[in-house]
Amino acid sequence: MNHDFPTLTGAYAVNALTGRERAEFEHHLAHCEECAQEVEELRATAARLGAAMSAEPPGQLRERVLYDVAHTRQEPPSEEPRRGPGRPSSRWRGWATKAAVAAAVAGIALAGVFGGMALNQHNELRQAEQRIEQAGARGADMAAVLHADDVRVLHSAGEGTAATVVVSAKLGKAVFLGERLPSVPEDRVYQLWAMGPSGAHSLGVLAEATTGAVQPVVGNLPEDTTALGLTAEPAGGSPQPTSDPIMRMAL
Amino acid sequence: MADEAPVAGTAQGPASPDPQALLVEVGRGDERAFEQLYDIIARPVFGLVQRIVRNAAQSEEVTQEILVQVWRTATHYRPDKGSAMTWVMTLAHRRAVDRVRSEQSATERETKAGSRSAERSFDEVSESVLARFEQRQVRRCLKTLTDLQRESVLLTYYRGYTYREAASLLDSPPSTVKTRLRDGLIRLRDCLRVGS
Repeated sequence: MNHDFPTLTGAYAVNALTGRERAEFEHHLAHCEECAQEVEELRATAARLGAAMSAEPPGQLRERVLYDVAHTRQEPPSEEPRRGPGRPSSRWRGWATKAAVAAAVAGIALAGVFGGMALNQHNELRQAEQRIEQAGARGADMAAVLHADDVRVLHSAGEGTAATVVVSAKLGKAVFLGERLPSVPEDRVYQLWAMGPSGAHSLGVLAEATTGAVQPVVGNLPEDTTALGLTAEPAGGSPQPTSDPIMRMAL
Repeated sequence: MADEAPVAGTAQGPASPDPQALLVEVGRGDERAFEQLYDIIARPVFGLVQRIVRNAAQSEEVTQEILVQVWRTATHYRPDKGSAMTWVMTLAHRRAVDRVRSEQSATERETKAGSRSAERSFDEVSESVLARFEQRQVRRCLKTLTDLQRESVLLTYYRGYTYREAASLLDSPPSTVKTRLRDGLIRLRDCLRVGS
């Protein structure tokens, strides 16, 4: 463990930290405003050193970049860090870059470039990972989703409900982590559905872990899935939803 | 805004567009703004990448990736978190460093490089920065650093070494290089009046 964090601002600002040391420093950075301020100033300083190297790029580059840009979709913007209650119940949190997220999950956070957004994403993933571990259900499928290079974290919170979904479109899988769900009568259970034009497909019934937390569910998403929905169903689950979803998360 | 005075001392005719405002526009999907931003950032990005990556073909490829990444991720840029130039150059530096680290293991590079390389990169800086006031500033400020501070900064920033690799090249304990690196950057910050 490194107890010398403040002196790492310089190394961090010039990407001279790697692996665990970097991850630990980033964790520290999330709680140290002074350090974050210094990192930003030293990055601005380093940027001046970089700009001092200015050189004319090859002539064709501009055209190629502009061509790529015209054919490249932009990432959705990151949302404000936190909002009070009463906001729309389901929304995508910001996406971090593939590298930042994959690395964050692996515990080697790369964040930084994207400031608060990346750190939030990092923390959310870490929390999601911890909850999966706590629930004792860290299957290979879930690990695969968490480590997917297109992993996205969807957080949904409404009145009395909160859940996180970690999804990889490439793998066609999603991990559902119920955080706060109203209790259901004894003869009913929560069932998770993948919903799309072709209808609802069951992803499974939510089981309660011994800790009282809801067990995470991992499921395969049919290709036309546009949303996940959670309904209360008779014990054992239903072939098709028999009630309106108490929670719906658009993918 | 019609009565906005031209920025004093730029002497470039019409005031050049503000990178911050452009990057925000780029984040809203404005390709015209990206073209204007390109003309501001392409040279610094390419120059830095070339310095770190060295190989001409790879430098071009990495520069292209970075510039497209600027477009793709401009949606995440927050002006209150730092200047557009810093944002772009931080992204560029990371991508360039990632490239050299994945290409070569540290040990391979260590056998090739001696601490002399620090001097070399400083000389290269000196040669290519004479043209402009801004660049002269950097050179002047680098000179105010102690040798170990300067070498720590140059080896990590322009060469893409980790501070531990730099320490081994400089035959110094990592903890020393770590603090010299920070001290050096702080001294540069104050000398260049970054943030004031």
